[in-house]
Amino acid sequence: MASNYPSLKNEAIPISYEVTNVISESATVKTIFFKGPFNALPGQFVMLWLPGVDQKPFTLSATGANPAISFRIHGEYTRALAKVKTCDKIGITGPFGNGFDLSSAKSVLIVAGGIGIASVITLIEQAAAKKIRTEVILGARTKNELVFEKRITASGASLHLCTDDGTAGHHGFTTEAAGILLQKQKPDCIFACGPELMMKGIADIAAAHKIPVQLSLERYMKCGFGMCGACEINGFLVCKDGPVFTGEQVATMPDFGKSARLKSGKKISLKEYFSPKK
Amino acid sequence: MSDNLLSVNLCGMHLSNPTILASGVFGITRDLLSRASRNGAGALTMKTITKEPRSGHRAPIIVSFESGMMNAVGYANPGIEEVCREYADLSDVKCPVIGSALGETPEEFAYVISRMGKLPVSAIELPLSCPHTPGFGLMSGHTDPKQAAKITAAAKKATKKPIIIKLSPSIPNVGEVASAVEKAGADAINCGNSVGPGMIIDIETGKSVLGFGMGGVHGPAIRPLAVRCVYDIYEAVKIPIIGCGGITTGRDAIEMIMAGATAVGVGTATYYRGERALALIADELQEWMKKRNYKSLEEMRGIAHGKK
Ligand SMILES: Cc1cc2nc3c(=O)[nH]c(=O)nc-3n(C[C@H](O)[C@H](O)[C@H](O)COP(=O)(O)O)c2cc1C
Ligand code: FES
Repeated sequence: MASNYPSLKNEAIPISYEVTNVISESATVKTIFFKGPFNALPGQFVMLWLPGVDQKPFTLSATGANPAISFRIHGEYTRALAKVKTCDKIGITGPFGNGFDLSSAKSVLIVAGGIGIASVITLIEQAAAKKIRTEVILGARTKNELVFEKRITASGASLHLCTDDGTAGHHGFTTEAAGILLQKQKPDCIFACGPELMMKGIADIAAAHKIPVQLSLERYMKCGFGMCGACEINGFLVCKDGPVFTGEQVATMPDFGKSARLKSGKKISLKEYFSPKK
Repeated sequence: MSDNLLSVNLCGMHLSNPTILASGVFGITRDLLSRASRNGAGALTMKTITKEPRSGHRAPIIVSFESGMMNAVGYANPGIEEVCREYADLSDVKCPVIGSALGETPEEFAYVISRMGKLPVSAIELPLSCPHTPGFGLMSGHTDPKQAAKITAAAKKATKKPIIIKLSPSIPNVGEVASAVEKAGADAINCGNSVGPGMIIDIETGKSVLGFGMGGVHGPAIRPLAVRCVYDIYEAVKIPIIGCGGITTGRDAIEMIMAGATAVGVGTATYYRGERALALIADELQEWMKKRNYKSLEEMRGIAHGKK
């Protein structure tokens, strides 16, 4: 029996990576590049440790030789992250989670709302590189907050913009734009990342059109590898069973689109959960 | 799994096998307990609950090293009020559930326990031994034999359900503390909690990695300490012991039982072997017992002591 002792993995410890470049994507969105190689599947995430501040999950917005994470500055942690400079060291644990599954799709629709684009940009690039017909709906509140348009068009994907205030593209929500697009064409699969109510809308539209859908969920994460339970939603662990879930899976989650847990584990409404940080 | 070979009675709870999911690991919500119960555990321990909600320490809260892990979760929990709502119905949890209650004073312990006692839990465990949270456990003298006895007595008054006192190998006189809480009415001892506190420093930044700076050490690295403590406690008390600390395989469970444990707590092994770790451990234990012709766990319990 002693010979069957399991190997003791040691992957829950941050490894230092040197920051190679920091760029501003918009007034509120930044990308931090670090020294690769760092490989991960589209949709997988890392836990990013800022010593003395905190550790939070980020999907990789680039992988391989020049990996990166992108973020919107909106709280204490991201304000500290925005101060990181070239040559600084950042601590990375991961990659974790399941990632998106393109499997045998020949045409896809990818919907991104706000900073959600950071979680699907490598999926868009990979799909387009595989010659999969790739339609992208990119939404933001206003024109100045749209990011990654150049990377999307450069990938060969076709881009449909969408703003709440009509300053660019379709005037309205990404869910409406998706509805219009689906009148004309039916992709093999839909992918979405963005505000949860948007994803709920996309899941409903996908179900109505009987198209499989994959959604990247967000919940408060403290470990990233399935041990602490902080990211639980109705018995699923977002960090380990997800972060990407299918439409069938989210249909079994009563809390999807409704509530999320605070750091203490107390459940509150999504509206309260995602309200601007003090 | 032939039930009778591994089945065990712990404080009136019937466990189909002696593995118990340790508090705070994986099963920290009602729905996760339900999920864990489908993964073959003999019993499950709830996350430790305090009177008020606690956000816990900053991340990182769990880190690994070559032979184990450290954590400084800081008792994050939604508070007893919220827990009474969430855990009111545990009917789909297919094995006994042990509650876990914590306070800063004996009165606060009693308050949380009396509320928790109304939930469908089979026993309540009191961690007196957390090595890394100010106000509680080792950081506030809860394991001084007199204080531990006071908390135990208050707990016994607050509920009719069995009370399990959770100690830690960090306590030098662990046998003495165990004996004090037995006299005060404790129904079982769990030994135990993580050890420490310890520290891991990232040498590139020169900073301690855990958000709290230090944390409790658990996993295979502490197993010999936990085994020796269970051995000492078995000498000191008559009440049953849950041996916990680094148990990763069936072999480790056997060792703990030979030191005197009635059941075994398993936490960190779920990191190495996945959420079915407890079922794997139980299977390995059973396989070995069959090979060695053991007919019950009782036959091997405490045999490292020779006498008794
Ligand atoms: C992430 C994590 C959280 C924990 N939280 C608690 C807790 O809330 N209450 C408690 O009594 N023990 C807690 N513990 C300690 C475990 O229950 C267990 O006693 C300890 O980890 C030793 O067992 P192991 O080596 O099998 O993990 C926690 C351990 C870990 C790893
Ligand atoms: S973040 Fe810890 S279990 Fe998911």
